[in-house]
Amino acid sequence: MSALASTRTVLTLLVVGLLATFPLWGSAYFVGRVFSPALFLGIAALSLAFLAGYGGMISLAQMTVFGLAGYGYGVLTVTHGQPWWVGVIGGLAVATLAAFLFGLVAVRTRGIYFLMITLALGMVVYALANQNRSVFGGHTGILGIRAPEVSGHLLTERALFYELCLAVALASYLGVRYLLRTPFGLALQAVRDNPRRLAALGYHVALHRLAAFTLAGFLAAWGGLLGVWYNGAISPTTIDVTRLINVLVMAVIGGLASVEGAFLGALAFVLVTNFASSFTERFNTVIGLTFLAIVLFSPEGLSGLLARPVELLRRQSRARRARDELDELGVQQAVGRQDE
Amino acid sequence: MVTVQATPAQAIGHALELQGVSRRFGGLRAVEDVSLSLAPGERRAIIGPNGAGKTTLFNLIAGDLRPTSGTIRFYGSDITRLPPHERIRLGIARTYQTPLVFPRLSVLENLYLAARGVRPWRMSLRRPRANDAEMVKARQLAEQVGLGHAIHALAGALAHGQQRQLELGMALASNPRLLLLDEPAAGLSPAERELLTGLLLGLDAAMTILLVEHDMDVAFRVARQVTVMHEGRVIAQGTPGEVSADEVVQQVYLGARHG
Repeated sequence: MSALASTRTVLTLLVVGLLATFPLWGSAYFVGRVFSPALFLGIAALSLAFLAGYGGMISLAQMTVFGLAGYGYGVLTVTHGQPWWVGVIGGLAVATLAAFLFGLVAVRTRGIYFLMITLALGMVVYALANQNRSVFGGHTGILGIRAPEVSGHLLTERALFYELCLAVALASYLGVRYLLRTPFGLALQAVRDNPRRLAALGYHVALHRLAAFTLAGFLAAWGGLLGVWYNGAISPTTIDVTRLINVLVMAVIGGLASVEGAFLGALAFVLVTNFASSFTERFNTVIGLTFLAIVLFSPEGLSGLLARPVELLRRQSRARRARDELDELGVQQAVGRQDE
Repeated sequence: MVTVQATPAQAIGHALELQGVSRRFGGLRAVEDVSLSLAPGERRAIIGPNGAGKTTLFNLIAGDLRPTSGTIRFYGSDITRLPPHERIRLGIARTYQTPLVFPRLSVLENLYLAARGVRPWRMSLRRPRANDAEMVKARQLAEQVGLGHAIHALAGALAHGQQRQLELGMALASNPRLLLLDEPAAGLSPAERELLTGLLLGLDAAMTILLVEHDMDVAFRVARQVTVMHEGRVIAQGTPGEVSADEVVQQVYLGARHG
């Protein structure tokens, strides 16, 4: 177990080190056009994996929340000429508030109904953004959005932007992993497994769901801010039905119940979209086929595929430990039986 | 049949009191005009053939269902309209007919959540430490129900009998004043039944226990008082001896078995 743990530590440090130094040795294209978007889209996918894999809530509104953070930033900085930090706070606040309101409507439903309600909410916001000119800028959206400028450097300079995305992604990754082991996170997983049982233990299930949904919205909002800086504009196409589903595709490709998977899925998605579109116009078909292959051959997604050797080792050691425990228990019970 | 129409003054003296409680599902009268009272510390078994309304009655007391009519009082206060998560905070814990545990969490995490559920700061974002009160409690409960050596096993990987033990531990985690056990011995081996009976007999004498049980051996050893239900109604109530001698009960049981 300790050997496994130290292997893990070394591997983790290696991966983080490689990722952090990527702009030094990676190609400009990969840094700017593949990894950076994969990281901020991965944050949105992570917010969905958190809800779906650990809370049992498959939300299709995560990209809507992502987009609303962008709209919030754009409206404040471009339309109202506010400084960037007002845009950041406002964008996060608007998106998180929207997630809270969506949650109020959606958390009392489950399964397919939850999915449909979040889809409907997403579509309402899309229609609103598309038709409202005064705030959302209608079909064109909001153009000329500038990223923050810190001591003379625009945050969208390639390497800088990449490092920023990496930092936010890493923080969300660690944050979610931490959260899953807190009382709140454990209760959330219990909500996924059996809400009725959890209520019978004294928990307010709907409140837990709502809190998780709001939190996931806050997470997606960070991705949304990075996204709007990257694109320099925001329009209703950012939150149309295709985008809403794309983020689900990313999360599933990566592995729904996996924190790492969200980023792997986003990376795979960006790679396939970028490369498939250079030699075929039907890149959606390629995405669809990739999706099918993953679902058929590795239901735990890419993370399941990559983690298989590690998981095998871990499972062996866990099984050994559990077997020892159960054996001992069995022996005790057998002894008890003989005593009678 | 004994129906006690308690005045409010008497009601305070009861741990649990049901007055004229009914629950209908469309045309089906699952529970019909049931009145029942348990003194604090009383151990009562509810028996009856399948479909007698025992589990529905449990769901009404635990709050999973609301009665169509009637009132339920817990230590004198009306809990008829209270949601389940608030009832357990008052001290009503239950187990289910088929064990409901959280399969993808460990035994310790299951018990920890159960101990945490009745305390404030349920939504805490601070990671539990090994010496937190609820963690200590969770470990102690694992020992108490005989799972002390399996605390890291995933609950879903436990055998049926062990899941029952875990579930009982989860119900005890809240230090309940009223414990509702829905067929705790179902699916257990004779040795496991013995273990369970011992465990139940060893519980705090102040704890009121209401159990539904088909295994008369377990039921009559744990409970002094027996209530017999049939087609949603209470048809007899008394000591195990009185109930087994009751003609109506014999008819129902013989009728159910041979009819």
